[in-house]
Amino acid sequence: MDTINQKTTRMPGVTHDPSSSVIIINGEAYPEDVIASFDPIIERLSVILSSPEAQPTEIRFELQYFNSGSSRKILEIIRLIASAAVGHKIVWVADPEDDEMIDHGKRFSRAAPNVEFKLIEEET
Amino acid sequence: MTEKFNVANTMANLEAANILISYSGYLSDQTLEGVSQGIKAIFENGALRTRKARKIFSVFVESAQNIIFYSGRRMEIEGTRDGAGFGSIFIQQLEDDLFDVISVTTVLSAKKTDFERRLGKLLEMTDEDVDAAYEEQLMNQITGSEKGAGLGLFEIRRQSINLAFEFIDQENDHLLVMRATI
Repeated sequence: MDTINQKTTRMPGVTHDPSSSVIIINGEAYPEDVIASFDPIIERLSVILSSPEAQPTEIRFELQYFNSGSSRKILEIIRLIASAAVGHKIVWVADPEDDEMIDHGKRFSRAAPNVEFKLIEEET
Repeated sequence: MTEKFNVANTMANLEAANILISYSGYLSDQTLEGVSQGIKAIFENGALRTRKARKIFSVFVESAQNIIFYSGRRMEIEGTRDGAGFGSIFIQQLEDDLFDVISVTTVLSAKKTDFERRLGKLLEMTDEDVDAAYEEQLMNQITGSEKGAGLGLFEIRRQSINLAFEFIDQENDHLLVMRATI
């Protein structure tokens, strides 16, 4: 398991398991500087997901909260996944009690119409 | 000479108004981090761990970041990108399950008209209009600045049952008071 980003109170943990081809993004996102916080993660994800040798990968979003600034960067990750030559899969996990996170999932799925996008309601 | 601060009166006023959280002064990102963890501890316990707690937290973060990034009265803090903005933020319990997040920030005279126009337009929109405009701004990466101005205000409006604002004129600038009922 490779750690792409260490989880903090204000940034999600991002891990990559190359053996099962799963990336998990778990936690909350409301950093002071969204660009400085997210761009290194996006760069690492780009190498894994968009390189010519990229393996089809499941990207699981298990987010409990993100602020408006972070939503732009999450959309950037979704679009990165959608633009890859390899067919990746997105799993968006939202707490059944969290209407807002469910709506975010639906909203982001519209930004990636050509990607398999599964919305799962379960406690994160 | 500055008049001595009346702590007892302030405390009594806050208590009479049922203020659960109050912060006033220079608000930095470090303060936001601490206070937001405190809010979680208060609102995400037992019966209060509800959808409402998430909404209160979300409006608090967006309101606090508005003060940190955009307050017209600022303090530089070494080692931080944005330093601190001067303002106040309160969470008031109105009823068992009804809260106001009240934020106060300094708006320079040159920017008042723009803020007034944007907020006025936001309040005129229906919930459906707000959702559509939020999605359009997000998807098209429309932003007032690199920090996401605009989207944060939409987020506050989306999470609120009611949103009201007023400007209080001061000698050289204005206080923008935003009251989000959740």
